[in-house]
Parts: sequence; C-alpha cells; structure tokens
Amino acid sequence: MQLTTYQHNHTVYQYITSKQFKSRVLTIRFLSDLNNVNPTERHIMINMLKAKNAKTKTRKAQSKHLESLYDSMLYTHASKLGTQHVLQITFLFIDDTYTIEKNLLNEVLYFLKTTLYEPLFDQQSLDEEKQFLKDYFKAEYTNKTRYAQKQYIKHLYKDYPYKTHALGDEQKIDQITLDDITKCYDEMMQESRIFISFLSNNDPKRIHPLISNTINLNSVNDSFTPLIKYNFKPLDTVKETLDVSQNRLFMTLKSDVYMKDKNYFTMLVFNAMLGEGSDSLLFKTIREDASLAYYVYSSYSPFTGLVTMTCGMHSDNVEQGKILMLDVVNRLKSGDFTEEDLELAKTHLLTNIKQGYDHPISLSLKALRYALFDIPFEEETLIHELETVTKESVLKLASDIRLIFTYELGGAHENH
Amino acid sequence: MKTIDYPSFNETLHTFYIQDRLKVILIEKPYFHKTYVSLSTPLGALNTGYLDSEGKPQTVPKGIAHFLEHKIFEQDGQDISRQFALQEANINAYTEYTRTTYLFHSTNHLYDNIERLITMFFHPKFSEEGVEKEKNIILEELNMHLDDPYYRQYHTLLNGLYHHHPIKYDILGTKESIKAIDKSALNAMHEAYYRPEDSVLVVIGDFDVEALYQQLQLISLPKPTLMQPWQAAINEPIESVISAKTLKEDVLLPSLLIGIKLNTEQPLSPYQRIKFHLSFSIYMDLRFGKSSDFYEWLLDEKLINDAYGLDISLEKEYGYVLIGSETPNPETLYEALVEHLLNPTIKRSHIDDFNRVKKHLLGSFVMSLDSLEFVAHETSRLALDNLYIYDVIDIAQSITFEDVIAQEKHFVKAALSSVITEPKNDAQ
Repeated sequence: MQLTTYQHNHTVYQYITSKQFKSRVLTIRFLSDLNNVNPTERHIMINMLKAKNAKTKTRKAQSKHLESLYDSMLYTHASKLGTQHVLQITFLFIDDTYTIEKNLLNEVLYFLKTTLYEPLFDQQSLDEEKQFLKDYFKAEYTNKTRYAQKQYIKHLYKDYPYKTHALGDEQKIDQITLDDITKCYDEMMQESRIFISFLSNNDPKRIHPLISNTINLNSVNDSFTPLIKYNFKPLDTVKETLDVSQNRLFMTLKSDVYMKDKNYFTMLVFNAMLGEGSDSLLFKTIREDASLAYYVYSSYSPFTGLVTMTCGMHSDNVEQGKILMLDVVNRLKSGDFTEEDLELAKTHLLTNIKQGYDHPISLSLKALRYALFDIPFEEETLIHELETVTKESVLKLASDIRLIFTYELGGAHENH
Repeated sequence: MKTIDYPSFNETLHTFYIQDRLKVILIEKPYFHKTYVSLSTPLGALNTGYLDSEGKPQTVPKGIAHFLEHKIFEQDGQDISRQFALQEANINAYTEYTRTTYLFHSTNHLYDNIERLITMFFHPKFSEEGVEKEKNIILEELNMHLDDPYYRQYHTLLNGLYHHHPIKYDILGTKESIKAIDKSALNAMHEAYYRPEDSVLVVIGDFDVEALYQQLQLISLPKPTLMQPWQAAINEPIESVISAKTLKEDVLLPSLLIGIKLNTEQPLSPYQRIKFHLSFSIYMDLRFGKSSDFYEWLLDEKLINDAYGLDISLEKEYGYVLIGSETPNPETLYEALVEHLLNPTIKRSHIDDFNRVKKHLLGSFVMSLDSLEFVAHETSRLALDNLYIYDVIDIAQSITFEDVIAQEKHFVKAALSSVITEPKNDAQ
C-alpha cells in the first residue's frame, strides 16, 4: 500500500494504491473554518447535491443511475475536524475487472463532474432535506443513549466553539432559502480547502491527469490552523432527569494533550489502558469485577484533549460506579498497573492500527490526517511511535490529568 | 483438503474436516493485514431445550443461548479474552435466532489464537459465582435495549405476528428468565449444542494455507456427548396474532412498522431458499426500493423520511418482511403500504428495471467481499447448509423475471401485523 500526493490548482490529490480491494473509493472533502460557516445550510446543501442533478433530475432517476453503475454508492456527510467544518462526498464503486462494462472510472468521473458542476437545487428538494434534518434532530431523542450523548456534549462545550453541531442547528432550518443554498454551494466550490483521495490499484501517475482534469476543483491557498487548544475550565456537575431503564453517566477528564503533541501516542496508550476495549481497566473493574454495567469505555478526542468515560447502569449503582471509575483513573496516576497492562494497551492499539488498513473508506481519513496533522500514513512509523511509550511517560502524562465534568441522565426508576 | 477457485471473483476457498468432525473453511485474502476467524454453532435463541442423557426433552429458560455466549469466555472464573489480546487478537461473539458465533481478528499468532478459540468454545469452565455475576451485566444489556423505543416496536411486532414461534421472544430473554439461568442448565445446553459435528470454523485472510491445514490436524476435539439438540415442534399458523397495535412512547416522531409472515407452502432446500430470498429481494426492490415509483410517491406525499427501510429475514425456521418509516401520518402510510403490498403492479415492461437490479446485486456482492466480517458471517451461515458464499451470486444470475413476478403470491393480508409508535402526551 502506497500513498502518493500531488497538487493541482492548490487542491491536494492523494492516491492510495493497493491491490487489496475490489472496491474503489473516491473522496472529496471541502474544508472551511467552523466559525465562519453555517453548518445547517451546508449539511442541507451537500445532501441536495447528492439527491439529484441537471442530468438525473429526480431522486428516483439518481437511484436508478447508481444501480446501473453496479450499485455504486454516493455518500455525503458533514463533520467537524478540529477547527474545520468538513463537507464530504464519497463515491464507492466496483473495480471494473469484475464487470462486463470496462470504463467504469470514466463513467464515475463523469457522474461526479455532473454532481459537482450541474446541481439541481429546487424547492421540492430543499423542502425534503429540511424535513429530513428536522426529523433527524427529533430522532436523536428516540434512542436514549444517543440523546444522553447529545446532552452531554451540549453541556460540556457550552462555552466553547466546539459546541457547534456538525449538522447545524434545528432552530435555523426554517429560515433557509434556495438563495442561501446557492450561495452556500458557491462558497463551497470557491472558498474551500479541498482534499481529494482515491483508493485503487491504478498507477497514480497515469490516472492523476484524468482525475484532476475532470474534477478540476480550485482550492484556496492559505495557511490555516486545523487545531486550536482551549483551556477547558471545570464545570458544575449536571444531572438531568428522564424516565429510563438505565442511567447514562459521563465523566470528563482533561489532558491538554492534542493530536500533534509529542506525547500524543502516550495519550493513546493511557486511554487504551483506561477504557478502550474489553481488556481495559474500566471494563475489568466496572463490568467484570463489580457487574455494574454492560457497557463502559473511555474515548479520547485528540482535537480537544478531553477523555470521556461513559457507561450505562442502574440509578442505585451510579454513585458506586463514579467512585470505581475515579479509582481506576487514580490507579493509572499512581502507577498501580502492571507492565502487562501497559503491553496489552500497546498491543491493542497496534492491532487497531494494522487493521485500519483493511477498510477502504477509513483509508482516506488516514490520508487526510497525514495531510492536515502530519500523522504518519505508514504502518511502520505509527508502530515505532507506539513502541517508544514507557510506563514512566504514561505516569508523567497521567499526573496532569484531572476530572472537570460529570453528567448524568436518568434517575427516575426505582425498580430493578 | 478440497480447493475451489472462483476466477470471476479472484478468490480461492479450501475446505476440510478436522478429525472428520469439525468443518473448516479457509478463504484466501491476499494483502489483508488482519485474519478474521469465526467459530459457529447452530444454537440460537430459537432453541429452548435439549434431550438429556436418557433421551428425555428438557426445557431451559429463555435467553440461555445468549447467556452461554457471555459465559464461554470464562475459564474457572477468569476471563480468557485477555489472553487473546496479548497475542494481537480482538475477540467477540454474537447470538442470533439460529446460531451463536465467536470470532476474533488478529494480526499475529494465528494458530495459537485459533487453538485458544477452539479450547474456549468446546471446554468452558463455568463457576457458580461467575454465572451469578453475569446476570446483572445481561440485565443491564437488556435495560439498555429497553430504553430504545424502536427495539420495543420491533419486538411488539414479532409478538403481533407470531402465536407460538420462539422468534417472538427477545434473544436476551426476559428479566425473569435471565435470573432463572444456572450453571447446570448452561452446562447441559453447551453439551447438547457445542458439538464439533454441528459447528463450523471459518478463517479468512492472508496466511499460509498449507501450514495452517497441517497445524489444525493436531487440534484436540471433545469426546461425543450424551446430550442432544432438541426443539419442540412449532405449529405456527400463517395468520398473524393481531393486525395492528399502537404504542405510546417517549418519542418526538410517530413511526410505523409493518411485518408480514412469509409462507413458502412447502419446505425448501437450501438452494431453493436462497433463490427464493434473492428473487423476493429483487421483487421488493422493484416495488418498494428507492428507485421505485412507489418510493417516489411516498416522498412526494410526505409520508416517509430518510429513515424509510425494508428488511427481509428468511431462515429455514421462519420468514418475514418488515417495512417501516418515521412518518407524520402513520395511519395513511399504513393504508398506502398495505394497498401496495396486496395489489401487485409488476408488469412485463419492468424488465429493464429487473436487469438493472440484477446489476446492482452483482455490484453490491462483489464490493461486500472487501469486508472480511461479511464474508465470514455469510460463509458460516451458508456452511450449515453446505453452500458457499460464492454460490449466492450464481444463484442470483440464474433468476428470471418470471421468478420475480412469482413472488406476488406470498402476501396474505391475514399474515400481516403492524405497530404504530406515537409520542406520549408528555414527551419532551
């Protein structure tokens, strides 16, 4: 597997060459500063772009066309990445070695060009996408684990720019007009930082001219900061009441270690030991030893430096759960863990790193992280970084980690 | 060892038995970093009993297959998953209605991890204390699901469709049945169902086939047991229990889920069942899929949103189709879906659509071969019927337009049930 990078009109083209897959994946990402955009408009606009275009003028025609391209899949997605709001168009299609028709790449590129340059923004499509987004926000309440996560994020980031939802704001949906969508589209096409990746077994030198000349996007050429460090302040505990079978608990640890920092890999090991997977200390303590929960884990956000410990447990057990979770953190801070625990965490991460190369869609994210944050794309470099992590480095890092926030949802049930 | 090449997909499969008892399927996937291994037994949530050493049927509490899945990882009170993790393997398991599967994906120490998996699978050592401790964990798993209104909607629908069939019960069991499970019931069910003759080991990845074949010959398998699988006869009428039900839930959007039991009239061979499943999928795609006129009409009428979906389940033991969506108007959507279900509209002029959908099936099949998880899941599922995953696409290619039109007969209004979920008055 090899990564080759070119630039054309300041747009970054990354070619991931591999003989491993039967699928081909072409991804276009449009990045803009999160502070300067309206994510609600952007989310609706990118979905309208997917729904239809000047050549396939209805959703039905669009679906038929994709089916005729051997079930090619067109995904659009809005997300946050550090300081950036990212609009992503991903096209997944079959390697034409396995099809009767052979020029599938040309057909796909033609289709993508139409999608990008000949959008069909009409009132019907706008109304549908607005309704879909309203329903999406309402549906977040349906699944109480998802709702608890949403509320947790809302309270945790209430004083910081990261509070912005990648899909926008429910209250702003009704105000959006077709003119807003057209303006939003023009801004995306003309004022974005653009990254394109293509996973295939083709020779990059041979296909780059075809892809870059067909897609032919002009990226802005500026220096930007993809990551800003915030000094997160401790917050008061929040408990919200809801009639649920199981309380959801979130505890936030502040680390001050971000993606590009020198001890980033040590932080990954700390989090793996704490609560990533079924061999972590949280899992062993809360689930296996105390039988308090079915799920318990921690996750580290390299864009905020925060670690979230989360679990679902009966309301009667929450106080005991909190004590045990903090005990685990204190064990890590005091060095009360074995060399085997450390080795297990490193092995867990190493396995994940290796396996990350087996998923066609995740490879383009690896490539983007390399372009934006200089996180190595090659497996060997990543593994070497992990191997340098020691018990001493984990202890040093852990000494600065502290609890800054606790959120709980539930509490209304009495019976088990 | 039998080797089968599939040049159309550039894939090679090898199959053999360990000691003429445990079926093994190896699939080569050059350049992949991980190797994916699964070991399955045909013990699922539908199995609620066994034959004891005297040949007498014994019933066990519901949810026992899932409980066993949790406890297999225990060896004398110790969780064995740590041993896998130390050798670069992530282990997991899942229980379905018709089988239980244990799996790991590893990047090293393949044979050692397979040997550990087989030992764990055939020789667990349960402790009373471990069984008791697991109950609370599984109760919390159930509580987590019970907080999901769509999970409750799905199970309410199955109870509206089925009178006696055990598919109406939650795979996890009930709070009462989980509490009633003990070590002796686990041991008995394990002895009856975790037998090499009924199980299948699947290994997929980039590894030395011949070396692994030689190593697997040395694996130790358990002695035959006296306990046997047993399933009470199920006499399930085609009619549903109840045609419609409404749930008041803590949700903000109403939704509708319709289910209809499928009746094939006569038992199908595995080949026929797959052909039926595929023909039926094409039929449903043509009539209800996102490229159908009907889907477009539903959107135009604002009766569905992008949560709309359909699902077909077809196993030897049962078959049903589900269609559902969030909707502002569940009653109108119900009327529209039922009318469309019961009034076939496929005409000869739809032949182009049929050819396009077959292309779409081929594309999605080939691309899904990039997922080792999918290949392993389908391989072990089909292995129980002596078929291979690559046979599926040949069967799909053999389907004619007439096969698809013939699917119209499978809908009977009496076999239908539905559940509307509506917001409670005090929902936020």
